[in-house]
Amino acid sequence: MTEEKKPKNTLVRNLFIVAVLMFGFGYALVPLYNVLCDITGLNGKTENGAAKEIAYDIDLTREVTVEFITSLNESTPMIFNTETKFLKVHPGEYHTVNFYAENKTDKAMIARAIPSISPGIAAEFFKKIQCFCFTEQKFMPHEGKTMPVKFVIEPKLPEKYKTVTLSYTFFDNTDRSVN
Amino acid sequence: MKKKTQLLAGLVLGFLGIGAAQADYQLNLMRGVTKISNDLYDLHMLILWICVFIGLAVFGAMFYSIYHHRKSKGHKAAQFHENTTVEIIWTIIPTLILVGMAIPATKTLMELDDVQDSDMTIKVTGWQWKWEYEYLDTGIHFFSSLDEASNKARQVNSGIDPKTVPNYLLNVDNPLVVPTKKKIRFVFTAADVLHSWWVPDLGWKKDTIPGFINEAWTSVDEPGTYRGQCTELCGKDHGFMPIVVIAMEQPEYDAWVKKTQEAAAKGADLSDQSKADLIAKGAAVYNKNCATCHLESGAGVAGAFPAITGSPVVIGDLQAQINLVLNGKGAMPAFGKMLNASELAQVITYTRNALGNSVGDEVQPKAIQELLPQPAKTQSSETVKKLTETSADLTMDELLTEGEAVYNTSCASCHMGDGAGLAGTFPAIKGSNVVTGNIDTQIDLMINGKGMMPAFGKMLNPTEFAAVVTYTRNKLGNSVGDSVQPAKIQALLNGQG
Amino acid sequence: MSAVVAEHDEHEHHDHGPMKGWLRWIITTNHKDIGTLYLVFSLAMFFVGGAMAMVIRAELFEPGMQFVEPQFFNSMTTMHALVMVFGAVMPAFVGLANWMIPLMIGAPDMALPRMNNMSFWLLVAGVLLLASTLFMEGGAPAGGWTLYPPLVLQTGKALPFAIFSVHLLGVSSIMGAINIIATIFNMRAPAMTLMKMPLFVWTWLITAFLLIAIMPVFAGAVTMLLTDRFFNTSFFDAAGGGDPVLYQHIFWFFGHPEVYVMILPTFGVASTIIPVFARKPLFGYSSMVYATASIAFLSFIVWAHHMFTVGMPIAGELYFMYATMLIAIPTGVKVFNWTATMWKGAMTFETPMLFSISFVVLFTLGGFTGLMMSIAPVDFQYHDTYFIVAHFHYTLVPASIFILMAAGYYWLPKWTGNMYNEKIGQLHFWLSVISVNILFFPQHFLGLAGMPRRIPDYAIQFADWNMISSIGGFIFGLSQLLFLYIVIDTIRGGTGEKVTDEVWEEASKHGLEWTLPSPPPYHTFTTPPVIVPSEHH
Repeated sequence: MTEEKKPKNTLVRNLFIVAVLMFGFGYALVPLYNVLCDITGLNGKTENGAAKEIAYDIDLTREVTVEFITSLNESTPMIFNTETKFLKVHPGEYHTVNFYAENKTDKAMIARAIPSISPGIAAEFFKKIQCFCFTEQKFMPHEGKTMPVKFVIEPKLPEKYKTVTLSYTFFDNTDRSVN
Repeated sequence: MKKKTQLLAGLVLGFLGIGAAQADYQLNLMRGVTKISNDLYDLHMLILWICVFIGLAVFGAMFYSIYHHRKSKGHKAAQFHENTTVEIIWTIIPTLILVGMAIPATKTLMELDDVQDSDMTIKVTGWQWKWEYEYLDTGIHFFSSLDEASNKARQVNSGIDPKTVPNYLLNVDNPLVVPTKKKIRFVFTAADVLHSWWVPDLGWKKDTIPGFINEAWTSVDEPGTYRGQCTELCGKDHGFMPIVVIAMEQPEYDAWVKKTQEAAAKGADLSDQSKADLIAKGAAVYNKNCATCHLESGAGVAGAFPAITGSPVVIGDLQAQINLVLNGKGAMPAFGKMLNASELAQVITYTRNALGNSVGDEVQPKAIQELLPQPAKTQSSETVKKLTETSADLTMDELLTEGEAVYNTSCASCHMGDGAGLAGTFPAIKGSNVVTGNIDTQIDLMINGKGMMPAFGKMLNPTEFAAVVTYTRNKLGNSVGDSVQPAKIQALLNGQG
Repeated sequence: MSAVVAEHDEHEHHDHGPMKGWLRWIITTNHKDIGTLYLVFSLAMFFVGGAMAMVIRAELFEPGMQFVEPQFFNSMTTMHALVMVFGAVMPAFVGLANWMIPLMIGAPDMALPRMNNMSFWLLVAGVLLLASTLFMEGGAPAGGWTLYPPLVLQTGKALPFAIFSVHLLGVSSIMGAINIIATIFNMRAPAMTLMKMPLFVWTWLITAFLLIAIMPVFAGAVTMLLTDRFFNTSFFDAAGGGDPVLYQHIFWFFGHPEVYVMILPTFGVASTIIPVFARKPLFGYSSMVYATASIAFLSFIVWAHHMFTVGMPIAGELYFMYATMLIAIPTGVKVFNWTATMWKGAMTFETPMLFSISFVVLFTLGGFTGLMMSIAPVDFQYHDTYFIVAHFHYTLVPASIFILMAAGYYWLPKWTGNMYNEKIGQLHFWLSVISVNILFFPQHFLGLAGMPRRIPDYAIQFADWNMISSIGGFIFGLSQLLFLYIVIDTIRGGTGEKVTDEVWEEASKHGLEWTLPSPPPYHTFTTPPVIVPSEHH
């Protein structure tokens, strides 16, 4: 009798295992999504780390306009602006632009700048060698900082992209930072 | 009665995709005022007609069968239950129809996606519950929210008939103005939650996402006023953050830009106001900006939005309240960005002396103005480009010109405009041992500061830094004759890590 | 089959019929009792969710805010959707499955009777927990049933409760699905091969696999919301390196199959009822099975068509557009098959048939608008307007709900042994079918004309159609009270006419349940039936 019950029990057990695995699959979608973003430039996510400074063959035949925009998330009491609104660059050339951020409060603040690039496809070809967005930034009360970003657009950028926008949004992470 | 007939006709015609032209309501998608919106309209109609055609065929067969193959008519049931040929046919034909739809759809999508070669860029930021527009080329920047008339009428049981309000819920205080026949690129982001920016006449909507940017483009053919709304649920007042786009011919648009820039340069009126004035005007500011959450009575919403009446912040220290209002906290946005000094002074004074509070004090616009972020220095983009490319070397003249400007804003307050300093407190630049000595020592001192001298390495960018060092060594009565380039400063700053 | 019989020996009360008293309904493990519980509960929730819809339509009756605050309006739209999806439609189909699958495949009960009881009571707990959030500080969730962050994280005290309720509902659905799969795989009567199973059983088998695959993913997504809010993770928070759009991808990976969970069993019921009243075998049985399976498969690879406007790269937009358009093919096959089943039949139009025919027509209409919205560029106009509201209500109300009504009329005589009042039944049908179109058809116009969804108040040019839609809504809502009356009346004796085992003319050709007495005894098929009536040969 118990032996005859086995197929049913195995089936039920397997189905429960599938359900548990699917729960895990939901979590697996998180890294999968990030991989997908890297490949497709979904959402203009950029790599969160410094790129190696390689010497490219500068493509002098074309210019790409790089726009810089800054935003503050709600209730991030800062001043944040860019000294350069836009720059015409040749792919393969290194450039540095400065951003200025200032803590408007009487307390120390930890803030994080999130980069985003549009069009998303261009994110893959936009390499940052130096950026304040790689780590959280600590600001003393009323401290202002000028922060350089050094970048290059790879000559591999498809010809049809003539304008690329780099955006930074500062978020006040003081309450949630692990540092 | 006529209306009823019209409605009925509308229902029938609308089903067939033919708008009843005489009706004052709309049944179908609008053609819009851009090439894309027209393409989309055609695509929409094509698919609609295909669906109508398939629908007529299928439902026709079904109703024929329902009428003729009834038991009550004595119809005997056939017993067939499959027919491979028929089944293959009705799999293949729809597939072909779908391919036929996919081709024009793909073409339009590619066109919609092509934001390159635009003439200007506008940054759009979604807020709970207003829109922020920033023209990247001209620097024009403003917030746009529901107009006052609609806002009054839309309160629960306001007693105002919405039909008496012109463009009810589709009107704003500051519309977005754009030139016609120019390719305008939009960059979208959000400050709090998701929103979506939609003007049907332009043919698309785009989500705005906090932390990320999206882009889209348009080119408006016809001057006119086009209205839309937020289409992504964004909280309580999702239905009350409309969009108004006014398209103007280029000359009119240029005039608008000039006027707006002049008004912005003039800034807010900072003259003192009487307390009664502050309170009276503060009420209007409050109702427009604060009442959505804290309610017009100031009672707030338990669990979500704190009451103003009796609030410890409002009846407490004035400076603390000003800081909170200017900088925001949690769900409370930073109003320092949205209101001008005069409005801020009015609304703060209002909350402290009305809505059941009576602290008795007041604040004047001037005091607020000092706390507001100052507009960034405006430089022509050419200089900006040159000055920020640290790889490019600057000439002595360029260094000196820029250096003078930096000196006057960053150093002159202590060392004086002529470099004479203040005896006993701030050393003179003129003839200073540091300035006329080894250049590296001077740079080191300026990067790291010493005593009362702040660390300018964090405050100035390499270009400004190099310029001001060069300036001090060659002007203000000194003539060392050497100079330093931004690249070197950059290297030193980087080395510092 | 002896295994099954052996298991039943363990419960001695099975030999004596149902327990006396109310405790029977709490501890019952009988599939018919549990089926009844599910059906009654879902009918109750249908009215609760319906009442919320009435609040929505009342507020939208005229421009201006008359009755509720905007925040409460948002709670209503959110809760209406959650209650209808998780409290009404899904449990109703589980109830039908409980009652009918064992009868249709010749099994004595569900494979796991005690788990069956547990999944029902977890459902009740989940829905009650969800409903309790209405009374919490800060109000019920108001960010839409999709629970998109960051907005949903602004919910007040209710957030963890709503999330926990989703967990309970998920566990309940998963257990129900496992039970159904185990029953179908292990407990079919001899000679009931897979390709002889009634289509209702087939569609439920496929639905059950969908549920097992997607409910855990949804549970995962809401758990991430929970940890984002309370434990400092940042799956969806850009500030910590997360991405709010990621939630939408995970949600719709669940969400798109989820909407098919509500429609696939509908297909099964329609394929069961139409042949009976056409007095013809179902046309294209095997293509129906394959079409259902293809639709289920496609549902996993089209999710991002709900997100055409979030800013995907063009390759993504194109892929999701093409994949979505493909769904039209198997769906078309189904509609053609139903039409061909009616073709050259000898049709009669009792209430179940009326509801089934209107299902085919109105579902097809919803399918057409679905096809229109699959065209990504045009969806840039349709997205998040009343056009989509009209679309999915056409696929849910005159499709899923109508078929549930049809199933009710079709099987009530079997369940109770009494005949419902055909006149009132037909009145209920005609009122419903007319009012549902007055309710939802104008919403197409509203959407095309530019009215966004989920807004509590609107511009004047939308006033006329909104008023018409609201009137349709009120008539539709009130008409459903007729259904409640009919159900109660039938249970209490109906027309007084005792129905035969077959109930419907020659129904026993179409399903094993019609070989049993009406009402069937508490325990049926304790020995498996030998002859399996051939449905399609």
